[in-house]
Amino acid sequence: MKQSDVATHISQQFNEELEEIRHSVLSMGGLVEQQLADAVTALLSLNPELAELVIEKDTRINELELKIDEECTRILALRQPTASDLRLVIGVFRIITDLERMGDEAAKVARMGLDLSLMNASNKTYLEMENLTSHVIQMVNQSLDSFARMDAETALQTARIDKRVDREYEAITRQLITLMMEDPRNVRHFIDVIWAARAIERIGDHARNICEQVIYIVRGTDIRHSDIIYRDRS
Amino acid sequence: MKEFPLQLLLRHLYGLLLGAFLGILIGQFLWTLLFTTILMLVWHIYNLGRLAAWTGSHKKLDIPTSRGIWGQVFDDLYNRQQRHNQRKKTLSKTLKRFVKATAALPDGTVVLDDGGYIEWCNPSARQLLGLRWPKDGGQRLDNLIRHPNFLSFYERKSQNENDGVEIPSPVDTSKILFIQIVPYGNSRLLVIARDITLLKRLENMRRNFISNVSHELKTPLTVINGYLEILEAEIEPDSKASQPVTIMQRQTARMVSIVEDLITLSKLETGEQPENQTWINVCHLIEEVVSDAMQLSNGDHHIESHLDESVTLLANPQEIRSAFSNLVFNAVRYTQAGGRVDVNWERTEKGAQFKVSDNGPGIPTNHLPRLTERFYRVDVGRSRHKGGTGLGLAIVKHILIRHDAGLQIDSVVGEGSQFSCCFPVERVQFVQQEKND
Repeated sequence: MKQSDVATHISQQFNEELEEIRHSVLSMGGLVEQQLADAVTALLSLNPELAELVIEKDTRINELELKIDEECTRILALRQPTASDLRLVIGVFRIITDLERMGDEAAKVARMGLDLSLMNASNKTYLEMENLTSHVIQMVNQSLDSFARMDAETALQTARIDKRVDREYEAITRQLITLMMEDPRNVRHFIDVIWAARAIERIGDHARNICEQVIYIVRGTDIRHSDIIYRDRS
Repeated sequence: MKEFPLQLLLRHLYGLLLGAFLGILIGQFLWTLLFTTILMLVWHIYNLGRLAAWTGSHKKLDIPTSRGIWGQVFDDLYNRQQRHNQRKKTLSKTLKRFVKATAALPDGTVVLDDGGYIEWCNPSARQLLGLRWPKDGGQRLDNLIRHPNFLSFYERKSQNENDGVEIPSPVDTSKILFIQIVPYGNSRLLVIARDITLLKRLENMRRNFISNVSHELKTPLTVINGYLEILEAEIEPDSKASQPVTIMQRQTARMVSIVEDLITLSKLETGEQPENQTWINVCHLIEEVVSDAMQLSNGDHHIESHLDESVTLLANPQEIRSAFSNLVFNAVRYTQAGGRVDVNWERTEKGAQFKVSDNGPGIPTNHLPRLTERFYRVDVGRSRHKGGTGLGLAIVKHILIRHDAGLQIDSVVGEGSQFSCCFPVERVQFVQQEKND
């Protein structure tokens, strides 16, 4: 949605309010992206200070969610938006919930990183995670980009990456199970690694939800819980 | 030649007069006058029609030519068109050259209008920042580049041109970009993104190298020191070998202190924010430093301190002690015996200030800007003789930067020097209760 698309209201202030909400959602998204990147770095390089910082900063995301939520409610009550504006506001409601969950999952990853660094574990075993995380980071980035550009096509393509992320998560689980059987003494920290991988995979799912909301806002079709993403390749 | 309306009128009048005269000659005065007028009118209408045909057509027609006033109009128009074409050609050439040049810039460049919407961006910006052109025209830049550090920098609207922010590239997180925002024209913004990955990597390499080298040197030095101590115990005090051993011991001690300073420095450089920050009672700390300094001075100097008890500081105590003691010891070391050293801790308008002043030899002005560089010495021989490592002020500078403080050095040759550390007001608290109680 370009500036001209949003700015089609007679009330200049309404335009600005919608634009402002979009921007706050995206800056919240930027914070989540950074949290995710930092959490992953903390996990892979076993950096306890960075992990603690990530856990600490999670509250900022929660505060932003409350703020945007309130702003959306205010718009619903005062402006009674219709059609695409209504879809935008509803979409924003759902997107910020997803973003907040992503923040929680990132904090969880950081917590696992903290645990692992305190256990003095070697970081050899989770190098396989790099592939998974780079895909998830890409998904999050692209889903937010598609929201900024209101680009349903990119959103659709991004949502499709989720399948690959799921497969990679499965591969990591299988590998870790093998490692646990080989060396039962380290089961505890492998479980932590599995938890972290799980959290990262969940972030991918939330990114997919955001993509679905973008498609809903742009096209008006709700594609949640349907396999339509994988069907209409043509 | 320019014709004025009066002349134009006269010309027409001459025509009419000529017609009237002819009319009188052939006896048909009125008819001839009418005929002449109609002839003139037809000629004007004809030329007007040609002009209209030319201005109305979209094709590139040549300008009609004519005589008299119309010829002049056509000529003027022709000249004007030629000039216009020429100007258009040079302008479009310049524009093309300019667009090519900006497109070839290795730095990503984005032009924002007054609302922060993207107006234009060059190919490097598309590559570095992941923008799409022309699809992203009219998008808000701060919607597409969402890194929190960038957003806070963007909203701050710093007026300082050298200010910038480092963020990972949204396209490839392994790349680090340095982004600057330059305002220009009527509230437009120019955003410049530079790839500084290589620079960062080099900086990291240098830092790691220094820290590794220092750690590697530490072990052999400890071994040498140990053997020297054994040697010293075994050698008789007045034998030939005793003096070299003493000198060797002194030099190893110096090397150990240099290595330790280097390790401290590399530690200070890597961490961004000092840990364990608490509100510390600076006066207590300074008193300890001063008593250490008195031992170092051995009673040769007159050391006085003026401390404001009510000012406390948010800082890491070990680091602040190291910075302050470096400054005080420097003053003691470089001031001649019998000189005086004043230590001050006071509140100022901008926060608080720690000041060490002496009446030593002073430092020539040309050395002042480089004084905090590593191993920079004003007088090499003397500094080594006094046991300095050449890293003290570099350590002080880094510690102060980490505490948002600044180091100010004033010095007059022959009169003395003054080193002040200015702490910002956010890090300072004024404890009033102690005085009230």
